[in-house]
This record gives sequence, structure tokens and C-alpha cells, in this order.
Amino acid sequence: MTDQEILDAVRDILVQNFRAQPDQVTPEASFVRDLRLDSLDVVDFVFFVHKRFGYKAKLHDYRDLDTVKDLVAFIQARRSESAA
Amino acid sequence: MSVFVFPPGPRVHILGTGHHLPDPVRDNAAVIAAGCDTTADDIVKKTGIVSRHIAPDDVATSDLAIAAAKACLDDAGLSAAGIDRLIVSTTSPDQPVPSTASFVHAGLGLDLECPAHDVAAACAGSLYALDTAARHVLTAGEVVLVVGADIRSRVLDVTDVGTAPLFADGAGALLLGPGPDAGGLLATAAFLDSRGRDKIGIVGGGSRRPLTAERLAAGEQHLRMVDGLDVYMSATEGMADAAARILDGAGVDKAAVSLVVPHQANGRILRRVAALAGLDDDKVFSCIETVGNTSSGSVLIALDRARRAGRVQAGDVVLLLAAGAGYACAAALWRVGDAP
Repeated sequence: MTDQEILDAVRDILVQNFRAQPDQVTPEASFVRDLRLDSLDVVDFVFFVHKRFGYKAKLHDYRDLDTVKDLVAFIQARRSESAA
Repeated sequence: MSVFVFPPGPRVHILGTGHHLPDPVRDNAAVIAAGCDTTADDIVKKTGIVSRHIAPDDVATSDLAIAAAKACLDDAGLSAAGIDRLIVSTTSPDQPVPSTASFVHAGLGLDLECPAHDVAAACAGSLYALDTAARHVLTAGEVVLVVGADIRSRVLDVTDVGTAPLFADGAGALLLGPGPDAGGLLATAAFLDSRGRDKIGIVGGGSRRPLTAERLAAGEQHLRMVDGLDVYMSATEGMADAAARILDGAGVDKAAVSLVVPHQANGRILRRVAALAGLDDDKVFSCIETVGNTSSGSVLIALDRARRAGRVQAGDVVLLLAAGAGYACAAALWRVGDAP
């Protein structure tokens, strides 16, 4: 899965479940500041990510991910670990 | 030992439960009218709460605790003379000294031979108290009354969107005692992740920061959620982790759990706890819609309401879960005997 494919899938989750507009979901967009996810949204969002990408991680592993780009890199790393 | 599995032989049984919610009921419109800058729809969406009970100014935490205790004794068919020990979980005591348990002791007319003390582990406190109580039953054959009670509304900043709509007042009670070998508590568990000690709490009014005019003006007497994301992640993950650990310790498969009664932290958290723990959503009992988050009272109120609603049947395996400030987490696993 390429970074672009992960970004597209993340965009789908945010648009379909968290009121985001497609053009808002850029690599540099911040989940809290730009996409307006609150604390409970973030917890919910992680569950959608786990379901979509087929791995699991601790909620706190996401604690310091600020932007969509950070998340894409995190997902790519987790998928690599899972495949190894 | 964080998970305690009860040995074979005479069991620790739940002899009765009860709860008390004060009047008046405060709906979301009243929360907003008091100064909280949000909407009723947003409160429901974020918390699942439509209304909650708020104690009037002349009611103290022990008053709620006494009413819940009496309901519990009625349910068990016992008088107060049958209680050997009283443990009260609260973080909103009647006053700093003496314990709230002293006031409950007096209100129930207990005698010198019935020791009583408080436990403070925030929203996980009633299950911490249950864990302590169960060991007294097991080792000394005592009948122990556990009460969880809080008047959270006294320490809320009515303008704080993070806490004002969420927290509420109430008390729950449970009576533990020895019983036959079939049924009873299978295990209890208690955990504390102290990295969360500064994420949610009341910083003023203790020995570290006694209240002064300046600190009162700064609102240090109020409950504050300093890091909401961390609190929600820890509550969700903490209860799911406690569930996994106690089930593993007791050798019980999660498919065998008939009912999960979690601390009513937040409606959205309850759904996520079930998903994270791999437990069926329809097995999770919730009464948060009309009760709110009553902190120490929460899980015992929910258990009593579940029993009275017929959700607890003979032979069921019931999993109790709680998480609170500190971060404290606790769990209990109960195989229901012949009389649910």
C-alpha cells in the first residue's frame, strides 16, 4: 500500500464519519486544529483506522500524532511490522 | 497482587444492592442555562447524557450514601445490626475530617463493633472498596457494606464544557457476605497508573495547595480535565485492559460473560470499551442517559439498576469495570448464585 493509498483511505474515514471536507484532508492538516477532532473523536477515529488497516495499537501510541502525514507514516510503519 | 482469584470453597456473595439519586433532575437545557456554552444536541452526541440528578444544597454525600445503604439492606432483607464492616468510597466527603463513613455509620445506627472507613480512588473507588471488602469476607466471614457516593456538582465549574454536562450526583451500595460454594465473586482486580495523576483532578484544597483567596479566584476548587484526550484514552484502554486481565486471571472466556456493568464514564467510551475488550456491545449495561457520570456511585448504581431491570439472572457471569482519576482501574467478576 502506498502512502497515497493510505492517505486516500484516511480521507475517506474522516469525510464519511467526522464531517471533514475532502480538500481539508491534506498531509499537513492537523487533526485537532484543522479537522476539528475533539478528544472523543480521536478515540473513535483510532477504531476506524484499526478496522480499515487491519492492525491494532495502543491508543496512547497515537497520542503525539499531530497531522495526517504523521498518521500515514505511523500506519505505514505498523503495516510493515505486521507483515514482517 | 493486582488480580485476586478467589479460592475454591465458601464463596463471597453479593447479598443485596441499592442506589439513591437525589432530586432535582437537571436536563441539558438547565446545564446550558447555568452558563455552559454548548448545545443540548452536542451534549447528547459527546456524552450520551440527556439528564442527571443534582443534590440540593442542604444534602451531603453521606445523606445519599445512607439512602443507598438502606435500599441495599432492604434488598438483602437484613437490618443494619447484621453489618460487620462499612466501607465508603468517595472523593467528595462531607468534610475533610472525619471520614464520610463516620456519618453513614451514625445514619445507619451502627455500633462500636462495626468499623468504618473511606476509600478514595475516584470513579474506580467503589470497586477498590469491593476488593477490600471481599477479603474481609473471605478471611473473617464478615458481612461488609460497600457504598460508593459522590456529590460531584459541588466541585464543578458550571461554565466548563468538559465537565459540567458530564458529572452528576448519586450513590450506590452493595452488601457482601459469606455464602455457599456455588456462585459468588470469582475474582477482583485493582490497578493504578500514576502517570495519570495530573491529568484530571482538583488541585486546590489539599496540603499541597491549600485554598487561598487567589486560588479560589483561579478556580482551583473545581474539578478540571487537564488533558481530555489522555483521560479518554486511559479510561477506555484501562477498562478494556482490566477486563482482559481479570478474565485471564480467573480463566474465564470472554464469551462466557453474560453482562458487563462498567463505570458510566461517557456513552461513547462505553461502546469503545466493549469493542476494545472484544465484548459484545449488547452485553454492556448503560444507564448514563438519565444518570450521568456519578463517579464513586456509578458502577454500583448501574449494577443495582441492571438487577432491578432483570438483566442479572441466576448463573450469569457479570463483569464490573471502573476507571478513574489517578489513573485508577478496577474490576470484579461475579458468578450469580441462585438468587440474582
